[in-house]
Amino acid sequence: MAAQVPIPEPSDTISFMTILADVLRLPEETLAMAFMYMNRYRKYYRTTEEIDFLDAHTLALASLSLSSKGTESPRRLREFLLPAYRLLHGSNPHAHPLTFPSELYDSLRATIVQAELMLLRVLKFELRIPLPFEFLPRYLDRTVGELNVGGGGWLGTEDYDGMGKEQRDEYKVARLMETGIARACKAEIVTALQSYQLANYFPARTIAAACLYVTLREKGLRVTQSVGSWLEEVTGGRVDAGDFHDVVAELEQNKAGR
Amino acid sequence: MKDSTSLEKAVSLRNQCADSWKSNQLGKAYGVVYRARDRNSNIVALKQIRILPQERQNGIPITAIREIAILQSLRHINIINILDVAVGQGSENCSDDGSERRSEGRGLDEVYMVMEYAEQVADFGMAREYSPRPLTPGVVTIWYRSPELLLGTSHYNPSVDLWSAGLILTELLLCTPLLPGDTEIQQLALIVKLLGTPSPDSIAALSAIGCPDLSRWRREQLPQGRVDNLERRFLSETTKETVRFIGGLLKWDPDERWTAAEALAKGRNKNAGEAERWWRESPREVDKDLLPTFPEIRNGERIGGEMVHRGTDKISTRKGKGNDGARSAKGASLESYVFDFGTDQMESQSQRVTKRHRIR
Repeated sequence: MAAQVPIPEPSDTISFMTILADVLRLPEETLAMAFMYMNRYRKYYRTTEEIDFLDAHTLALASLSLSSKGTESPRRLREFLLPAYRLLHGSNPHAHPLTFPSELYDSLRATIVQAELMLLRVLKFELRIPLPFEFLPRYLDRTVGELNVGGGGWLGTEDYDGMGKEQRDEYKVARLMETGIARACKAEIVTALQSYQLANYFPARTIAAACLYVTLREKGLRVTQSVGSWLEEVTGGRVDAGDFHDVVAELEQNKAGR
Repeated sequence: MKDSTSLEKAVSLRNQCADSWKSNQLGKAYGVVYRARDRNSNIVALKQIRILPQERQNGIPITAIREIAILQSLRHINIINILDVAVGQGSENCSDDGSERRSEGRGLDEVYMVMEYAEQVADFGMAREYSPRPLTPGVVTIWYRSPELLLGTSHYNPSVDLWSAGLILTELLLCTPLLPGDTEIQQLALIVKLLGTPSPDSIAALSAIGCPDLSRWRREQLPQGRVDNLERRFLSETTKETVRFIGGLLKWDPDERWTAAEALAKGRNKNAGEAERWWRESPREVDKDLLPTFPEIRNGERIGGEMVHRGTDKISTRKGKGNDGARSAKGASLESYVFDFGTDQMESQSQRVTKRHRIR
C-alpha cells in the first residue's frame, strides 16, 4: 500500500461538503445551492411525520450531486463517490480504498441515486432556488461602485467594468465580482446558507444585503449613514429592515460560535 | 409514481405522429407522451422523459432537470404549463395495461412530467439557458442546424434558434423541409445553394466565433460564386415581405441574424422595422383560439365501413399570396404535420361520434 499522505479530514457534514466541492473544483454557487437543498430537506422532515431514511453523509452527497446539475456544473457520481469515500475512511488504517467497478461501488451509487430522488421529491423539482449571489453585483455596484462613478462634484474613475476583454487582460483589470470585498462577501454567503434558519426562512436578497453589511464592517469599512437608510439605498427599499437585522444577528452569532 | 396522478388509460401519442415527424425520430428521441386523467378527472399529458442507459448511472439526467426547470420558469400562452413531476424506480403505481408492474431494480428509470393537455409541436428536452461559455457542439436536428453549428462551434448563442425558426417558417410555406441534408457537409452545400456563397465578411465572422471545421470546408468543399436564391425560391410561394423576413433569420453571420425581439418587431432598429411590415401584412396575427387546425389523418378510424375522424374541422390559413384562409391542395398535406390530440378522445364513444367528421 502507498504511504499515507496527509489529507484533510472533515469533522462534520458541512466540512465534508466544503472539501468535496473543492476537490471537484465546484464553484461556490454549487456549494451554496447544496446547502440550500440540504436545509430544505431537513425542514421538510422536521415539519412532517414522515421518516427520514437518509444519513447525513448520503444527504450531503445527494445535495451536492443534485446542485452540481442544477447549477450547470455537472460531475459524474463516480467523481463524488471516490473522493468522498476516501475522505470518510482514509484515516482508518484498516479501511480498503473504494474501487471501481465493485459491488460496494454499485451499492453506494444506487444509494445516492435513490437519495437524489428523495431530495427531488422534497424539493418538488424546484432546483433553481434564488441565491443571494444574484443580488450581490447590484448591491456592490451601489456601494463600492459608487466610488467609480463619482457625483456631487466628486470625480469618478475609469469605467473599469465597461472595458473590453482585451483592455481588461492587458491591464489586468479585475471584475467587480472578483474584487476582495466581493470574494469575502461570496464566502460569507456560502457560510450563511449553512444555517438552517437563514436558508429556510429569509429571502435571498436579505441575506445578500446582510452579508455585504457584515463584510464591509469586517473590512473596517463603516456605514456612515443610519443602517436603515443604507439598506434603503443599497436594496432599493426591497429588504425588510427587521429581517435584515435578524440575519445580521444570526451571522454574528454563528461567527462567535465558530 | 406520485399519488396525485393515476394513469387510467395511457395512450402513446408517439404512434399518432405523422410519418414525416417520425423520420425525425421525434417520439423516439424525446420520450413518450401519455394521455391521462388526474384525481380531479382533468385530462393531463404525461410525458415520460427518456433516460439513456448510460445516464441512469448518474441519477437524474441534467437534460431532464433543465427541461423541467425551464418549463417551470416559463409562463406563456404558447408554452405548456407543467403541473407536477413524478419520479421513481420502476413503476409501482403506474401501469399502462391495468396491472401493476414491479420495479426491476434497474436504478432510475422513470421520470414523468405532468403537463396541461394541449397540442405541442416542440419540447424543451434539449433546451438549456444561454450562458456565455462553451456549449455542447453538434446540437439541433441537422435540417435546422445553423452554419456555425454545422462548422463545429461550441461558442454559439440564441441566434441558432432564430436560424431554425426561419427554416420552420419556410417549411410551413412549402409543406416540406427546406434543407433536408444527411450530413453536415451536405447540409452546408444545401445552404450555399439557397443563400449563395458566404461573403468574406460572413466567413470572417464565422472564423471569429471559432468554427473548427471552417478552414477545411472552405478549402475542400465551399463552392465559389454561388448567388443568393432565396427570392427566386420563395417569391412564387409567398410575399416579398415574407421573403425578407425569412432572409433576416437565415443569415450566415449569427450577429447579422435578426434577434427574437427584432423578429417580433420589438424595438426601433431597421430589422425590427422590416419585421413589423411583415407582421402588418395580411393575414394578420390572430388569437390562438381562432387558429385553424387540421384533422390528423392517422387518427381516423373505420366505423361502419367508412373512415371517420376525430378532431376539429377547421381549415388552414397560410400566410402567403392569395391564400388567405383558403385551403389549397398543397395545404392539405399540412395535415400530416399536426398533432390532433382530440380532447374528446377519452369521452364516451357516443359523444365522440357526434364530433367526428369525414376525412376529405
